[in-house]
Amino acid sequence: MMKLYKPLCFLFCFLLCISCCLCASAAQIETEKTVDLSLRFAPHDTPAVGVQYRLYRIADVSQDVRFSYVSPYSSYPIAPVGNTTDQWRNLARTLQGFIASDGIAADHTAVTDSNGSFRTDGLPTGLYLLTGDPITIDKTVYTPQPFLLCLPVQAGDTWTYDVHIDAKYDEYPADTERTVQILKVWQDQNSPQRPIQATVALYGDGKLYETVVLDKNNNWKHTWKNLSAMTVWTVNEVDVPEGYIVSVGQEHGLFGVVNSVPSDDEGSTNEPSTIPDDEPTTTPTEEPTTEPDGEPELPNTGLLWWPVPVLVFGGLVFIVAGITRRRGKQDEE
Amino acid sequence: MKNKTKKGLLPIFLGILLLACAALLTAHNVRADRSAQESVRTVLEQMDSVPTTQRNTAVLPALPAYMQYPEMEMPVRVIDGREYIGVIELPSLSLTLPVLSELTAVNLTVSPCRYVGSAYLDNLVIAAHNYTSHFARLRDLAYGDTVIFTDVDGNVFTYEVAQIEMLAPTQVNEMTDGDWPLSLFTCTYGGGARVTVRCEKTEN
Repeated sequence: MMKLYKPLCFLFCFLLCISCCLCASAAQIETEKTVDLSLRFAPHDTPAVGVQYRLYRIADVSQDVRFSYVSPYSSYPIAPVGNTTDQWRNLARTLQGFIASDGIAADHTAVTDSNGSFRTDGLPTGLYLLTGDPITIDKTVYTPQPFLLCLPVQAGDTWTYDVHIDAKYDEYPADTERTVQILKVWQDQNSPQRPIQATVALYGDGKLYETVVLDKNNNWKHTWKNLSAMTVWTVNEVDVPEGYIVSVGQEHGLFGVVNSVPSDDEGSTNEPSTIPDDEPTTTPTEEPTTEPDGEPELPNTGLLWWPVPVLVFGGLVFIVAGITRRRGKQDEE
Repeated sequence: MKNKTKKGLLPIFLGILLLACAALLTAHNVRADRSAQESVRTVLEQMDSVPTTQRNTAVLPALPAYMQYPEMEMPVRVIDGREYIGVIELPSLSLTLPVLSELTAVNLTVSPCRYVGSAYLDNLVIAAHNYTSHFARLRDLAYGDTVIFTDVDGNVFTYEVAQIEMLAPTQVNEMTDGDWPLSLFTCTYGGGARVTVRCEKTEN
């Protein structure tokens, strides 16, 4: 039995290593392969014909799903590619703003056919931003939502290099003018380095519409009304403050331009990323927006009433004592 | 004769002096209380009806901004050079008061002030003097009483009284570190402690 012990152990370890290698290779991306992408844009199953889409290759992706921004995106003050749906959604909006402000040309363009679809073959692997133009169908404007897409797409433990996706969209009545509001949000623990103002720009179809200054006087927000529903509106912050990164989120007509201070862990792409699923998540901070001045005591919020009865009592005592003393003297006399 | 008439005059004089001081102090406090009441009335008149939350013209209903970005700064409305974050109502005390954004000694003489926190982050603490027109009757609140805070954008936050406690002036952390969406406090009559009302949120 002892003679078989060592060979059995060796065989067990060998099989274990083989299975680990198989598992690892099954989860890894073959970066040398190309990806074929098909997208369908059909609101309520009605094909959106003739819609132009633009693809921007934002980042390289490694075999173990690590994203590295490519130029010019690597120079922008943005967070690394996150792991949640909200983070990917906000990153898409943020990049859309930078693309508009810097006039970055798309790496690929495509137009939907009579089925509302387009197909692009031979795309290099990587992280892509996809944007599309709005279209009016039956008095409703449908605007494709910008989104990030990792090519290839993960399907369970494998990767798909022939990708088929359906576009998500926003919809507005065609005869309704849009209202866009920008809100500046600071996530910096009330840092003393926070600037007293910030400049943001609104772009319509990639063209500058207006630049506004946000500060405490306007409660860090601005509203534009009577805007065209057929225009793709994007927002970008002009000159992100030193030491901050920016993230732009959009929910309906509200653009939130969030400046935060990157933690020591951010900026690193050494950890493999997780492709988020479709479940949205929100992570509001729990930190208060204001802090006390650091006084050792709670503020005094009381009127000075306690001396009143003391003074009254003392005064009466003295008066009675004085009167008593005078009467006593008179009695003696 | 002179010594006879002077006997007892000094303590009487001192007694009158002490009574006069008491009267002056009382007059000062009453005047401060009335001034605060007038300030509140003036500010509330200028606040008039708080605008309802603006909604965009999109098909889908928009969430208020604070729900999407709870860490946003509470917007303020400037009235007479002072910044207000909203209005607090205590229906059981028939009390409606504006709330200043920043707590200072001068601001406390005008209206209740935000000590720390935000209604959006469920950690708002509001302090006020124990004027009869401000928080003097805070201790008269009962468990379950409704408290309503409305910000300057018209967002309404409804709470109910869950706990009433006394805190020492040095218990700063206890005042701010609890998991209470809303806390109100003022000095006790003698100033030695803080009457603190803790509120749980019921609905927005």
